[in-house]
Amino acid sequence: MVLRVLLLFTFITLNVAHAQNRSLYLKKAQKEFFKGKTDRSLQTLNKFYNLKQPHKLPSSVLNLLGLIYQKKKNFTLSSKLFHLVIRKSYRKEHNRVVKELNFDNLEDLDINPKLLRIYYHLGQNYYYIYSKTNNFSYFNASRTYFRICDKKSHLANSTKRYLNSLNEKLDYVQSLEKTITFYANAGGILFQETITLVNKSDDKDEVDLVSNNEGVCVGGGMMYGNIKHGWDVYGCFYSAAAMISNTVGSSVQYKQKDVSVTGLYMSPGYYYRPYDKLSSIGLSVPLFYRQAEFSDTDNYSVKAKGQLSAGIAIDAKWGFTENWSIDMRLSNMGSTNVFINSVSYRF
Amino acid sequence: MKLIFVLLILSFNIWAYPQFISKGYTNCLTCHYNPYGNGPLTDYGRAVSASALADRLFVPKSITDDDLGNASGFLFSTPKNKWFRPAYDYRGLQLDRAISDEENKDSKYITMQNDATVTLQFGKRNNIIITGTYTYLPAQDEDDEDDEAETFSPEHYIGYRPMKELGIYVGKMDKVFGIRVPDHISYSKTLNNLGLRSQSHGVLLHWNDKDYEVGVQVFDGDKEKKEEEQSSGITSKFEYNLTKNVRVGASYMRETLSNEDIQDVKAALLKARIGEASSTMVEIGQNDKELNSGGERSSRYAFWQSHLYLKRGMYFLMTFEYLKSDLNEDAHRYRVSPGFQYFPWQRLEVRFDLQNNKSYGETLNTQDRWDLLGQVHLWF
Repeated sequence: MVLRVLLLFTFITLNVAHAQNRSLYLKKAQKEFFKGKTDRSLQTLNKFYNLKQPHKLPSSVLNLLGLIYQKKKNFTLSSKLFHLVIRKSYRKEHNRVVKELNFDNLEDLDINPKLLRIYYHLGQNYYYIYSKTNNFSYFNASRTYFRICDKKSHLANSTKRYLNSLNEKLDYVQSLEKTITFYANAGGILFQETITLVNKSDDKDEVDLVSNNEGVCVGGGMMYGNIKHGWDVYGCFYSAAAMISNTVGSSVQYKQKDVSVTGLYMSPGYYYRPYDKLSSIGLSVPLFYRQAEFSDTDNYSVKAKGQLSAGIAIDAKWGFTENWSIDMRLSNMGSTNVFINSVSYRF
Repeated sequence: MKLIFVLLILSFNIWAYPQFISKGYTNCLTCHYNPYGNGPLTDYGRAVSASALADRLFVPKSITDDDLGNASGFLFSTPKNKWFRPAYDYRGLQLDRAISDEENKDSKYITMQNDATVTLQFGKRNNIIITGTYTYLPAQDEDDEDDEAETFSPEHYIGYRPMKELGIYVGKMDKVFGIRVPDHISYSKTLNNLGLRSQSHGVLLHWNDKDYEVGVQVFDGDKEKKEEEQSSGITSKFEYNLTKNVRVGASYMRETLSNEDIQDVKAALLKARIGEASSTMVEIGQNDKELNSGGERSSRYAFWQSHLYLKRGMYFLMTFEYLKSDLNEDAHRYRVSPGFQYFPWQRLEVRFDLQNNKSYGETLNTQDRWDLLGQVHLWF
């Protein structure tokens, strides 16, 4: 009997001593963590606790581990540890918070500040995981935890900063959605092209002339894309006056002024917005059709009064408001060069 | 070796263009000693250009923008004294003309600037400055026997600002007219005698208020040139901040040219920030000349340059120019120039422009000419 009592006494004494030692080690680890010695703190915990079985650890240790791993930027593990703390120590209160949150009725609920602090850390963890992965479920989780803290004014300034940052990220995410925008456009057009004269009595006798044109163009387009890049299909009808004044060979001269020229400029292309959502630079593949009323001479006739050209263009838009922009397009289509300088209105 | 040493001693210089209205800088005095830009940068101008305007190509993350700002001075350091500011500036242009015309294509390299500058600043607010620049330009055209290397001073003056708003500058300077862009071959420069060698001795009065800026300059010719090559007159510029992002203005100049023609030039100006970091600048003007040979000739021009911000230090440019040399004739020209400008880090600028030159008119109706321009601008 005496032996049994002695054994029991020894067992209890050893356990109490062991528990006191663990408590001392935890306090030491906490001190080290708050002094910024994260690795040392983890080593201290590791000496006395089996960190490989976290579900067997007390909440205070789990909480410290959660903070340590957050500091070490292992946000996923840190979140798991904080959730374990909730499960072990705040299960009922957490369920109540979730229920009231669903009814948007958190104002009347008292929440343990320690639980709020865990929510705050979870909000941080999910914020950083979202920033790294762009997985929207982490975005939602982070926003939910920060909203709870915000409702209870927990670490108000910091919480607001995180919420604002999340809202900005949301704006950005939404701006990455592709949308269709239409715009109307009007401006001036300058172009040069080659006109070919053909000798009426000898088909092989051809002479190239330069025709310079100035006019106006009216049209519009459709942009499909997001805040960064997309596709732009532009088209405009133009009316211009052409001038030809070259000397042809030694005996033939051909001069015409203010010849009526009409046509269509169409350019599907790609645009990229490098910095802000109002200005863009792009490349397009224009098709250019013109119909001109050039006169024939006694000996020469103008070849192809209707002409189609294709080439490449550089396009740029400077948006000075959400709706209005200055558009410039310079294209080269072999011997045809076109410059369009216009103003656009986006609907 | 001596040359390298001299180049190292004469460090940092010109940078900052009117396009920086896109960064909130509406006037030049913030960053330059000369109230109308050009010439050496102030300490603030150098720091801003290093820490915020130029890119950080190959600069490790461990070097912060503040570090770059602190190292923007002489020999990559903070200036050791308040009064002595040396500078060196180089700008070269590779010009390939008529690149699509096999018969007429032409290529040459032009040294546009090779400037050594010393600026002295005194007074509690550094309100007294003395600056002098000396340039050596090698012969530019090997085929031209008359083309010789030349040395001259493009700028030397004394400036005094008795109060923050008022400045008086006496000496040789660029003429104050229009939008001062570094595009020296633009119609707005060549038409109005504002090219590379157009500086003149004179007196400039400058008033800079919060929302407006006025400059009046009386000039009496470049005294380094021969008497018969000098021109004199008066020129002025007024600018007003319509909003914090839009600045409008006007310029007027009356000048008796070296050939005794008298030119009377008026221009309307606009500079505007577009979006978050892009900009546009417009100058529209008319030049009325009373010809020495009798008669008059009026010309009209437009300069429109827009900068699209691509990334820190990098811009896409589109320049549109118009020139009608004689309003009584129907001949006129257009020039459309897309281009890229890049400051990979402070002390280096590279720029490429593709120019589409269009000539219209009954006797001028020629094939479009495509020119390619590549510029490098260095300052140490």
